Amino acid sequence: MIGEGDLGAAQPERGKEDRMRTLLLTRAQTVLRGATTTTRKTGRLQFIDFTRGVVMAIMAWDHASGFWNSSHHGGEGVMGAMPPFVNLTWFLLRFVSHYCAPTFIFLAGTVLALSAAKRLDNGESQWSVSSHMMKRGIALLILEALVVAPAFGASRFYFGVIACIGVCLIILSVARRLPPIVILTLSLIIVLNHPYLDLGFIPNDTWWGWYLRVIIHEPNSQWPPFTGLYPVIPWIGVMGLGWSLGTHLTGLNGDETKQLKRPLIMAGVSCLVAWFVVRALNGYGNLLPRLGNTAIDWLYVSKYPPSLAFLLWTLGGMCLIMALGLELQDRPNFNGGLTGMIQTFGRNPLFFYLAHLWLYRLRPPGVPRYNFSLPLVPTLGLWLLGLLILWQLCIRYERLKRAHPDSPLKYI
Amino acid sequence: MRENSSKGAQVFTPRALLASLVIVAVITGANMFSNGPPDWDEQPPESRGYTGHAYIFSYAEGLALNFIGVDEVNATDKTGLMHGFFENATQPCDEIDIYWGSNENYTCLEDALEKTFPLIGWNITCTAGTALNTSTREHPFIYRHYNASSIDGRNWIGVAGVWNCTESGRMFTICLSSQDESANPADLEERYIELMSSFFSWSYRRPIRSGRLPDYVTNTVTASLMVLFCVGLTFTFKMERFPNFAHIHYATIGSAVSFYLVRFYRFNSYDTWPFAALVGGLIGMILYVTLVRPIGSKARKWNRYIILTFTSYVIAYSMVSVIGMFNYWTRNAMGAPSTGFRVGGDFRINGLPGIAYIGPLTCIFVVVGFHFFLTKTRFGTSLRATAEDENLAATLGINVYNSHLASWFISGALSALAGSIITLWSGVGLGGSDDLFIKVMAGSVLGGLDNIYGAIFGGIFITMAQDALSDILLLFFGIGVKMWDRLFPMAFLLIVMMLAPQGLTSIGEKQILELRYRIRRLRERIINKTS
Repeated sequence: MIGEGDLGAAQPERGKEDRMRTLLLTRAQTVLRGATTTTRKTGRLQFIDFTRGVVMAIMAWDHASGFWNSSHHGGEGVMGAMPPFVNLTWFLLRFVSHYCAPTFIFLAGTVLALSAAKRLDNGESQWSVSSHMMKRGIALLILEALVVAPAFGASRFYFGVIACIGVCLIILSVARRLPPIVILTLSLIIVLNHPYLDLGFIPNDTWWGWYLRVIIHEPNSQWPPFTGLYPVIPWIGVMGLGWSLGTHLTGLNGDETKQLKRPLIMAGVSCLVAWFVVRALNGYGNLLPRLGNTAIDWLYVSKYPPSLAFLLWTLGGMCLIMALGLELQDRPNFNGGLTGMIQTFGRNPLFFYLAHLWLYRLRPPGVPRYNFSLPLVPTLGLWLLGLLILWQLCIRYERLKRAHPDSPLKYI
Repeated sequence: MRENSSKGAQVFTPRALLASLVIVAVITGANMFSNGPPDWDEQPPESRGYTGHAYIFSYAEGLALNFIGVDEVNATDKTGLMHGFFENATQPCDEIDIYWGSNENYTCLEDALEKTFPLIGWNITCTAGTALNTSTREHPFIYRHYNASSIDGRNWIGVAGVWNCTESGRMFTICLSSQDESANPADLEERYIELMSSFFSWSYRRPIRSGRLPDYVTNTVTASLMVLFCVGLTFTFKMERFPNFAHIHYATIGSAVSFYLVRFYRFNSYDTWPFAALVGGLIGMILYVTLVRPIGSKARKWNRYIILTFTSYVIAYSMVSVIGMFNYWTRNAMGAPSTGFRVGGDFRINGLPGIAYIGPLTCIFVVVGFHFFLTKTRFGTSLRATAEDENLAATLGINVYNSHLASWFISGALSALAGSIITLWSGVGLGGSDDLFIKVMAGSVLGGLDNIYGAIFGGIFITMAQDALSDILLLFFGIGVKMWDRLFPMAFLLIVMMLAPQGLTSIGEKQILELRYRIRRLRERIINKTS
């Protein structure tokens, strides 16, 4: 016989069990949802890592060649300059590297938007997110002055791509509170109209005026040490476009993200068609004119600052690489082999950037001081060897960063 | 996240996108309409830059460059001739000739300039103008105007000059000539100076010498360096209980690293400091792991320290040899004489080189940082514990191996950093290390070999005292005393060891009272004798 009192005692026990079961079930569901979310997120981001990894590897080629080949030229568009190219091969070997900076900056915006959304999702305040972006921007400026500029043999005032991204981050840390459609509109206006910007009101006979112009919109290297190649004005537009894509991606689930493949291909092809039209018309969108009809004439576009033709070609290519990444990421061996290696680069872009500069600029003792230059094939070998070393370095760095998530490494 | 996500997806609705595109199109269209088509005529550059044969210069667009070797050999970095002329010019215009070769063939710039004119051409009679002295990027440079006429009746005027690149050991002869007889010499000179101003390279800078600076500046920088050295040496002694004779040679290695990076990689001199410190520290660690530790563990207790002292002496001489090889290699294989590993490229504030400010500031920063490291961090405390009693520290669970390793890294890094700073100051030659070691030894002994803070005091004191001693002796014995300059540190070391073998910081109240008593006795005797 079970008395009332017993019943009364048993019921709370059962209720407790039920509550426990419910709690466990809820937790399990949460964990499962979390796992699903993580998988979805990982799946969604992998194509970005892949795209970034591809351009990082190409960029490594550009810098390896720049450090080791006398036939390698750059500076397309600086003050209207046209560097001499030995032949079409050398031109194309430089030309492929054009994808790097736009993709690097565009995807920096994309990842920034995703990261900001994730932080907000984790309960961080708006101020905390903005301050993190600002600190990261400042860290990039310091890294440019202390690590990147010396690697290029430039002065500490050199305003390069890392400094440009740093300033863009600082601007976006405030501008991100604008509605996404406003950011997209402003970015498009900047990208399409920056050639019309007239900085004549800033004096260029004082060092500060000159430097301000270099930072804002006029890349050049005429007045050392106040030199720079990546002014903020056009590139903040590119980053803003990337931010817009990132904002769009935060609203998509895994399946919706996969469906982006088709729009990305269409966007890529459209950009390339638009590039052809812009180059054919040889007017608006070309900061450097097409002087003839050879392959070099068609492909020689202004990078410093980026003309519309340049951005159409490179961002179009980037869209196609992203579509390729989306296509490949469902394959079982995507995380291994070459694609795995590329993703490792893409997951550690800043570390890769800093490490590769110093790795490729190293010259072992015994290499002649003046005018030493490698032929093409050995340079390619050097590049591949460097990539292998960088791969291992990135793997180790990733482990280190994971082991110390709260260290200053989070800014690199 | 959900909110944000859905928000993100909702924002880019077709209507919003359309509105955005319309705004962008309107603004872009308005810009295109109001600004018109681009003006391509402004785009082609007026000048080009030449980079090759280890020099850089800019020249007018359209100039054809021909490079010719000397003695039927192609132009090389060491010697060659460049002739630049306008291929399609219908009017008389400028021509540029640049000849470069070793500067060893000339006794002085004037001599080189005299030999320039036969280079200009065969059967040319020159009427040379006045030589004008100036310098480009701190390199000696002299030029003069000339008028020349050849046997075929052609006349031209020009400016010819010689520029001694002291860093690469090359003499550049640069001629700018014009066949236009009516050309204004002042305009030609202006164009010549413009040409020369583009003739640069980061490595072509004359080192700044400290001799012309005021004494207090020299002493401050030297004292800063001495502090770094003395602290490092004392720290090693405190940890290992033997004087590391190789300590100063890390400085030479630091100097060599800085020199190498500046000369061959065009680093800013200041940027090389971390690398030099890192290399010095790593060498210290390698020496500890490969030599000091194995030898120390195998030696018997009673002779351990003397064997390690000998070992450090051998290491010191080995380092000198290695640096000597490096020196030989840079001079002969790479064409860059080390000249005591001095490098240039320092900035100036108020007429003083930047190192006069940065050197002492770095020293203060390092010493304060070192103090905080030793007193405020767990690892620093473990280092101090190991220095006090290694066995007790090991019993307490401190990894004494790591502590020793860190101490070798720190002392090596400090010394190499000081060596790197020296490259901007006076340079440290191969033989210079020995002199420096005596000074540092004196400073460390003076500060008490067991006391790191005393080493700071010792380093400053030895610099000031030696300078004062030198001045006093100069007053009494005249300029000839400078011949004995190298004896001063040794004399100082001997005096210090005789008077205060435990260092000045070990002098207590008793010793001070005794010294006062002796002085009083001496004064009384003198007064008694005179009265």
